[in-house]
Amino acid sequence: MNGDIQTERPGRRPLSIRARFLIISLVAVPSALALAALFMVSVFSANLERRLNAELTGHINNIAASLRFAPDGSPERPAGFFDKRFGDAYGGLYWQIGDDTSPARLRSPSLWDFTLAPPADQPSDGRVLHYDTAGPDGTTLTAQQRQIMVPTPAGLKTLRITVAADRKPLQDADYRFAFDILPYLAGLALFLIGASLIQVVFGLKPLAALTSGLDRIRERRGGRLDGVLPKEFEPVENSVNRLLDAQAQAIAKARARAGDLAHGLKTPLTILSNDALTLRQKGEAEMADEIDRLVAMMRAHVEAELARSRIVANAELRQSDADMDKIVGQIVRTLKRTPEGEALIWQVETGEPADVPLDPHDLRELIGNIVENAVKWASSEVTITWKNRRLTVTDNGPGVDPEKIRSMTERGVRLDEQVPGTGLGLSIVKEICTVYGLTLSIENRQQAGLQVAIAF
Amino acid sequence: MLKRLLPIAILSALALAAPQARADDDDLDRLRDAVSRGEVMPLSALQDEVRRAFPGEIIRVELDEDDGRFIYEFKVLQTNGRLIEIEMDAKDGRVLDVDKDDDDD
Repeated sequence: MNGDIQTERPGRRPLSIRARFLIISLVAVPSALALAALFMVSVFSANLERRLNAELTGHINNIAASLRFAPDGSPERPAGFFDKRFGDAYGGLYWQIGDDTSPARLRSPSLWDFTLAPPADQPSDGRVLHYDTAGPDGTTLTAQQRQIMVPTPAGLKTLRITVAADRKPLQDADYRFAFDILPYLAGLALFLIGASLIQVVFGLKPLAALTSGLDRIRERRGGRLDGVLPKEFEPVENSVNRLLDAQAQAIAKARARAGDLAHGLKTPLTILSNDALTLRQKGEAEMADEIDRLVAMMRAHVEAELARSRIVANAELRQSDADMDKIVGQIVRTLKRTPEGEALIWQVETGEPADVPLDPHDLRELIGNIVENAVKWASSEVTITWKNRRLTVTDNGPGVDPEKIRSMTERGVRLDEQVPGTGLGLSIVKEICTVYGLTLSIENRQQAGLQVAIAF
Repeated sequence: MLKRLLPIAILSALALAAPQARADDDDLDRLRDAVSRGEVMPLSALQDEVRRAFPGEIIRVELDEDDGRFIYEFKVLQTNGRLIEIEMDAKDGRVLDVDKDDDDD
């Protein structure tokens, strides 16, 4: 039943939802993590910076507390610094004390042959000045300077204490930190992207239910989409259901009208048939024959239309299931009594009693049409077999032109193209097969005759 | 990793911020005994006294013992950059001298 509505494929589909989500997470996750990494590194860096500044302030205080003065008031080299870096040449940690006579009156041994440049703006209010300055050997230093007033044997003296540290260890620490967190961030990125994919796959799963629901409706096994989808699809579900309801109503109305029309034609046809009889009695045999032939054709159409209008609209509307064995038996009994049927050999094998999911009326119509056709064409024998949920009806008549078989099983052959007696019964058979999703196959037998099979 | 580093940084900063104390171990043992006997005031109380009288940062604490008498010397760096030295009797928190010029001990 699949593929009978071949819609033309649009030139280009919009990007799949999975691809959309993947692209979003491929862009969003790395940028979010890159931002997070920048933030973490900057927090780390700020903390190191704070720590370094506290260390430098501590060194200034320590130097201030350790100041000694000669009797003439000149400062003596402070003693008692324990940080080894103050003593090593270009050790990375420096101090310098300046007074009125020189901005670099005393220097730490680590400065060696270098002097710290004074800051552009020297505060005189005792505030600690923070600034970056050039250090020895092309290094950049973080420096603090503070002006202090110290009592000396020669009275109050103003000194500037500068302490500076190389920034390189800070930068190194930043890089190391960034490098250290990299594998964690990469792992996190993979995890998040994977999670978003799982989310999409899981989230889109109900779409399969939508597809199968629509397939069920197309195959007429269901009338509506009901509650098989998540809440988000409720509007779609409702729209589809409204559409289906409208369609079902339109179909029901059309059926009813076709039925009414067929019914309405029955009486005029009877009258017409009587008129033909009158004509024949008046000696107009030729015209009477013509009218009879037309009446027969119209009657066949009317009967077929009435039969079609009685088929249920979809499989779920059936009154009950049908008993295959019983219905085949009834049909065979009826047809055996007809003049054509009496002359035939009947081979009926319905050993498996089984209920099939068809309305009993529809099953009777279905099998009746097939068997009637077989009886019509059989030269001596009709075989009916019900086995493995497959009903096969064969005759030993002339069979059918292979070209015609194709058009017989073709879908969408219009009823009015068909000639009464050769196709109308088949059109009902096809209609019933469509409603219940049964597979109909028609083929010529290797020996003489035709075989019609229906898989349930 | 950051969490592990933070306390270290804070501890280091605290260590640096604390004033350095200069005194002999023996002096300190005797001081401790004297404090526990209640003969002298504990450093915490004296420091409060210094902070109240001379606002600023205590950048050094030194202790002298003279005939069983404990004398504290505090160096305070005031916010305007003025460095002052305060001698204080550990027994009662009395300020003995401020801005002592000579540093012969």
